[in-house]
Amino acid sequence: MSLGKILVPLDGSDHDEASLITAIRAARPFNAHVAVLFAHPDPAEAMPIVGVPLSGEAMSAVIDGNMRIFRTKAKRIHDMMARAGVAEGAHLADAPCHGDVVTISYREAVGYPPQVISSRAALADLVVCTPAEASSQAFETSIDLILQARRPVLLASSPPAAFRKVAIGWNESMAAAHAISAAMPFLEKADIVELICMEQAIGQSFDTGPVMAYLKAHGLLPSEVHLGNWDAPPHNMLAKLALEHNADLLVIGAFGHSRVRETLFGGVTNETLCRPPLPVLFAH
Amino acid sequence: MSIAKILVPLTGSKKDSVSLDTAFALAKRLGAFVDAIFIHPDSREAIPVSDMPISPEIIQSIVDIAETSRKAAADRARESFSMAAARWDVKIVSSPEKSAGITATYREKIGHLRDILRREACLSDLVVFPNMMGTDSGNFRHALTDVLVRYDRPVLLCAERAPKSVGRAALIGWDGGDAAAGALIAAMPILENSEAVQFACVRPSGDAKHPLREAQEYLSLHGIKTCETTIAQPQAPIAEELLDTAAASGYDLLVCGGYGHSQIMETVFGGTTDYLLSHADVPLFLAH
Repeated sequence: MSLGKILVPLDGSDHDEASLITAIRAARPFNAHVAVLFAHPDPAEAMPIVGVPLSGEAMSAVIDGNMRIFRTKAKRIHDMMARAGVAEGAHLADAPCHGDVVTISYREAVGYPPQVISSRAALADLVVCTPAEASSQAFETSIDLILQARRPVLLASSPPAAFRKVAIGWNESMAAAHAISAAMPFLEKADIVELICMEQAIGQSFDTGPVMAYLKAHGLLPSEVHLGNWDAPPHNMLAKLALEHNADLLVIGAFGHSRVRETLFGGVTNETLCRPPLPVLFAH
Repeated sequence: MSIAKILVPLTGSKKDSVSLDTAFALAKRLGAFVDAIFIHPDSREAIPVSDMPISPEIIQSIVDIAETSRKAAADRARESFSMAAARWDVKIVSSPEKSAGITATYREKIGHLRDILRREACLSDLVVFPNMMGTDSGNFRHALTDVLVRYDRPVLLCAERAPKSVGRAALIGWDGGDAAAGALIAAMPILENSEAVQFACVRPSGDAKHPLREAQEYLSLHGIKTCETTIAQPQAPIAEELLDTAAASGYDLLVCGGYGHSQIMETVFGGTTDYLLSHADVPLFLAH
């Protein structure tokens, strides 16, 4: 299985370049297509809600203002695509196409961004998103919706040179199993794969037989790392550990715990969603 | 995502041979490993619950009968496996490995089908289910729903007869819904190796969430060319039309979304469930 289409929703912010470069580097081993999507609301619908009726002039001024903002953002995205695309050796295409190099196309869509983005994600192999901390509320909601639609999401604060070493956060959950199969294109191309077992209590040890057998069926021979007593400091420890092990990518199941518990205790995924110290691939 | 490990739960009946032929035919295309597993409940569970005390002798004889029938079923499953393995020139291995040809293993487990599949299905890329014709298939039908909906793994439902090939030419039932999109993506490892891929549009109007051209664009980005037919005014239930189209044009795989809130799903799992599950004359690939 290869990656064919990587969706990158951008919003004209400073983080766009990091997301696009991450997507291009993920696409490179497969010469996949990177589809940039700029989703914005209808300028006429983005009206402020005020207590008094707005005059016609005021309304058209607001619409014009919105239009200008969207045009400025679109131009920023275009300029950045041309700059980063050339620097990364990708080819800018008018329409999505399959070729011998990584190609990039640009599309705009009007609508509520999380809805538009998650709908487009349904027919993409991977979605590269901006980490929650650096992005708007809209992107956070998008990530939620994309994961619910069972598409994998890649987040990176800064792009890695390549995805050579991949670490898997394993806790025997269904989400973690799904994440492994969603990450298969990366795992198959990686030089080194490491399985980090997050045991909940001291002395407990997962039976890694089944997961190792699954990985072996895919031709992978990962090394195992066991973390006894995982539950104590969840925070960002898994990501930090993966970083210490020089991993280029961390694969984890999103929301393996219930959302309530995640929110109350700042679970592994929430914390990593905001500030990933290394690129992270999530799947639900 | 790729299909490298195919799980085949065996029943200990004649259907096993079809299940294994289907799995091996697909494994041959994909170079996959086939994990055949015969699951049978503990014989002691055959003891009936009764208000009347049952004498130990009767209990013993019930357990003995259940044990004998389990052994006989296990023997049949094992025999089906070794015969199918010989037919397909399969290399039997003790643990999974990746190779150019077909590799397979056979296991027996005591327990409930649904419990065991819960553990096994999540770490498999595809689960092959026998055709649901017959009276004793309720158990397997529940397990199929579980695997699709709760464990979110794709399922391959066998046809009534053993296929010569699986996935050489694939027909995709497309209604533009989320389930259809999910099934298309889940079937990609098979479609990448197919010689012909065709869409059968069952809701050709423009209001679909994912228009056909987007699906075609997605496949073209994987280097797959497709053609399309439209079932504009179905004369029969959609599932029946799809199966007829597939059978008439020589397709050896039908790809459909299951349990979405789409037209296909309602048709497939609504009124025509029995028709589809028991009359499927092509292997059916389902994903949630």
